[in-house]
Amino acid sequence: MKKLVLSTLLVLQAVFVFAQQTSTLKGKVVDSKSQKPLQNVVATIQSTNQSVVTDAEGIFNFKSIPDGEPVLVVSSTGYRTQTFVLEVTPGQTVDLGTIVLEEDITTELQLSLVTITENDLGDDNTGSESTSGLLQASRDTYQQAAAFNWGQARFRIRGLDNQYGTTMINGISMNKIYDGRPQWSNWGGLNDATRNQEFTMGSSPSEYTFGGILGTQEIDTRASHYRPGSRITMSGTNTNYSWRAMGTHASGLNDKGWAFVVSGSRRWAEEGYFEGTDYSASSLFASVEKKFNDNHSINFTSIYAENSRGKSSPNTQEVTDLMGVKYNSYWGWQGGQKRNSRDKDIAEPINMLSHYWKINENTTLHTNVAYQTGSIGNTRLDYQNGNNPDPTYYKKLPSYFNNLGTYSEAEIDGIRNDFVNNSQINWNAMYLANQNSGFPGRSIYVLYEDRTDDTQWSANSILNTSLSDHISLNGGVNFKRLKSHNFQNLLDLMGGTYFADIDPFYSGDNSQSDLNNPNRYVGESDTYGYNYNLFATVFDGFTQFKFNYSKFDFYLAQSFSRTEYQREGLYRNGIYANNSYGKSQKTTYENFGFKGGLTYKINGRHLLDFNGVYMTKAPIMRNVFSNARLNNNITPNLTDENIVAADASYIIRSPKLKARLTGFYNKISNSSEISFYYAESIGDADGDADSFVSEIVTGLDKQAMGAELGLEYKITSTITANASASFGQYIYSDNAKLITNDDGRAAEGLNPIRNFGTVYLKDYHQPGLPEQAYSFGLEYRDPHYWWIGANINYLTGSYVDVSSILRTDNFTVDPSTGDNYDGVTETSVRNILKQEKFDNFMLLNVIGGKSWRISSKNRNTFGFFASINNVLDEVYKTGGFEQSRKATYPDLAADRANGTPSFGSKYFYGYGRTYFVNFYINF
Amino acid sequence: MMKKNIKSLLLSAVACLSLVSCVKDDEYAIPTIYEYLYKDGFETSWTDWTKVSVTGAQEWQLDTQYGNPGNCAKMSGFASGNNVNEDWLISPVIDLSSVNAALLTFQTASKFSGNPLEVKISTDYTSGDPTSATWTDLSGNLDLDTSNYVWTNSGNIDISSFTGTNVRLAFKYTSTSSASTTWEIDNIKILKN
Repeated sequence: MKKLVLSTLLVLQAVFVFAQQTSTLKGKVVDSKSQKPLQNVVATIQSTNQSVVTDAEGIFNFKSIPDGEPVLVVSSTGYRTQTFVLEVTPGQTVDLGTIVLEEDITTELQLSLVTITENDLGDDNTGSESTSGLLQASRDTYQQAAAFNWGQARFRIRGLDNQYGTTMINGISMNKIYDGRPQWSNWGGLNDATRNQEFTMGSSPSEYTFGGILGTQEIDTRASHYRPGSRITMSGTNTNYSWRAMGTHASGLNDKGWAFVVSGSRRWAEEGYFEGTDYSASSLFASVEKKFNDNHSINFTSIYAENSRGKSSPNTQEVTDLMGVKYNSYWGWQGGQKRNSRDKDIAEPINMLSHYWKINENTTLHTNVAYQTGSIGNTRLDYQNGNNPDPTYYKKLPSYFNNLGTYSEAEIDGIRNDFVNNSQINWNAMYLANQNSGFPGRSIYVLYEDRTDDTQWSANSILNTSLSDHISLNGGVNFKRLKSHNFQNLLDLMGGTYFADIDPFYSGDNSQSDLNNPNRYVGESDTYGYNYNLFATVFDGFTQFKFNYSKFDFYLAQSFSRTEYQREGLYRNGIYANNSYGKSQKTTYENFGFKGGLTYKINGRHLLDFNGVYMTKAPIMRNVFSNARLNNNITPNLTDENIVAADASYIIRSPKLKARLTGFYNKISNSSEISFYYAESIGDADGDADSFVSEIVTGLDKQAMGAELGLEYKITSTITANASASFGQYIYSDNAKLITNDDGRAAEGLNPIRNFGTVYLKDYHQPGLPEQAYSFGLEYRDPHYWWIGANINYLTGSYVDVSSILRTDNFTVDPSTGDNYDGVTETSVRNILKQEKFDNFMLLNVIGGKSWRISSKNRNTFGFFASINNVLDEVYKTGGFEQSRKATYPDLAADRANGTPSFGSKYFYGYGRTYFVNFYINF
Repeated sequence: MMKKNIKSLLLSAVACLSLVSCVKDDEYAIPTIYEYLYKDGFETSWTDWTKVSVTGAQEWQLDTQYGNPGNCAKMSGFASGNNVNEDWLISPVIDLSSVNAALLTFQTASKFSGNPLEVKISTDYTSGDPTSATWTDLSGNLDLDTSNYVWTNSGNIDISSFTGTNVRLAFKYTSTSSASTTWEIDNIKILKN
């Protein structure tokens, strides 16, 4: 493997370099409103991918441009991109004079976009959020539709989870080692400070990383790259927050070589769109750059974002029918306030030191060191020997009594009324129960948080060099070291004076969380239950060669990474006395990737583009320790993922029409998933006891293929139409393997691992993402700085997350006879295991805005925009999952017999009609 | 120009979509469902079985009380003392002509010491004297603990080499004047493999 990388390096350097007769090109770029020169605007010759940036006077200069009719693209963050078709006579200088850039309204839109990406799905306790991928707005029409119009419906580009994309700040990957996903909240609310971004899509090359197969997003926080000026915005909305205030100032580079940027924001809501979802977030940003000379600059960036919010519950159809889609079972009244039992609190500040070294005209080396430390907490209720405080606990719902079959209609009506009248968490009852505890002072109910305190060092170095006029080399090395401390932290004794750190489901040693320190009484801010560290060390590097010629460009890149994981138990758990305390063995994964691509320029306006990648990927840390809270066990049968992806595009870039049509295919093999739940009839001797198990699915193959279309056409100088479509199919392309880990079995001295063999998942759909999405929009932009737009979207082909355990032979085969259960036939099993497809839906969004110049002397502007999303107030499901509790055919059939199961699927819903109003002032 | 662009876009769109071969909504895998070529728990089929008493007065009986569940076939050479017996219980014709792999399973329970039950298969037995046909011994797990009746799975017995034709199964009971086990049989199944 290493040999191959080396030989590729050598071969590529040997490519010969051609000389060419030269024509030159220059121009000056100014702001349309202020007429002031714009610095750091990127000018690119499309056919050769040559790029230059404007200087302080707004002037750009190409020393050589191709003959014929090359296309020049002038773009800058926050401005509308301008496209020019040039006519070049060999040896001549082309002077474009003054190019006027208009502010881009969609950058204002980006400011409301964050409300979408921060909305999380799932009540898992993972640190980050399963949001819709790299959905910040790039300039691609299709990606804009995916972000602005489909993101609210949890659309995912190419069906990919965002662990397959790479989100970077200054080239340092912000994807968490724990689950591979970026934690957007770490810089949430800092939209102005993080607006300098570069995107790549699919596996196409980035200058900063090898990347995954979804694409890359690079946020540049170098202070001198910000446009000087100040900006204040105020917003109101009814999504996950109600109000937002944000202010940013950028100094620009002064004579002494200093530049700084500061930004701050605050977002808050007493109650967001869903009931009981409070929100409070504050963010601060500072970046300082010192330019020592033309070759060396140092930049320091500090980002602090804290975020605290109440989560909302997924609900069964039964509960939603009774309570409505905004119902949230997680909150309850306390002292006249809505108190949410499931809060998520994040504060993980980032500090980053960057060195920019221009070694010579052709070579730069950027080196960054980052330190991030902080905590994520997810709160929950814990209780011992008390009733389940969840108001939607199945024994409190009418369906349970109805399914028992012994209750009259009048009795069930009474139970229904009881539920409706007691549909929220009863804090007072829990305080009262604690007061009346059988052991005075000992709390029965407490509030705790699952805490993850991460400390991570990251360092990278990125080399960018032009080996010749036609060949450039990017290379980089990255190093990361993570210590992740995970523990249960007691937050609130709820009137009691102590809580016992034992597990009342077990007795004797089995009930002890820490045999080294048994029978502890714990108080607020004490650690209990579980306590362990996870360590990870990741090293990776890549090289990438890009070749640019007049008719075609191509690139080749290769990467290597080494990942090491280890767990260290800080408690000796009673059930796993011999393998819970101390350090686990280290697991190491070595991975590599190759990719390449070709762009063929039919002419300056029509291009064909092909990309392909093969790579292996280490399992995410979350999946390596199958029962990390309790023991050092390493997940059996866990292997690297193998990833293959390819896409082919036809691209049109003419001044009036911009279009891209892409066909894509990707396959992720040997993937793994771990989930936790209560199940009946899986593995206990009697067959009817409930077990809390972790379910480990390995060997999962995920396949996605489809086509994407993005089309933007300027009908007149003021009216633009755009259309986007995504048509795909995202399935599990083969069956997988399933084992469970059952602590209850371990407590009885049995092997906690039980092998369920094959899980029959082949040709089920990957859950919770629309496979088809269509968008059509019109936008009118008046020369007097006002604009209005509308788009209509149709989404379909989203499916429920199927339970794996229901799709093993455990479901159909009775272990006592070795034969199928009664009633099991091809038809009955096929019917009951059919994957639920959610209803399709239509989303209509309208948006408009206006801006004014405050004075003719400067670029000070004032403006607003307002949007209404889902104007038709369509109720739609964005996701959902089957419950795993009824794990055999007879149990599941019985639960469904009356039409209202006690353990039906739980669903998440999208926002109904929402608005966003934003006022801003630039000065 | 515009028309041409749109046309080429649409054409390529069709080309792309034709590459996407989709699975339909009802084409998903499901857990194992056994498809039986033969399944018999003696609930209604007792008269279809051939009982041949070669030696001894005792014969195969239908037991309606102790099956697993319901009925089962039962044989004992004990009648106020141990008796010499040879008794065959022969299945109806089972059609294996359309398959090329099959698994046999059945369950037995026994009490009292004596000879084990013999399990056989034939492709040429028609009627009457069992010794006139060719029988092949099959080996499956039997309830060999004779202290009490415990329904015991035979385990999968591969009878693929007898496919492609009609077959008959036989359970041959023998007892002596000094020992006679009571054997019970239930849930005979032949699984398409």
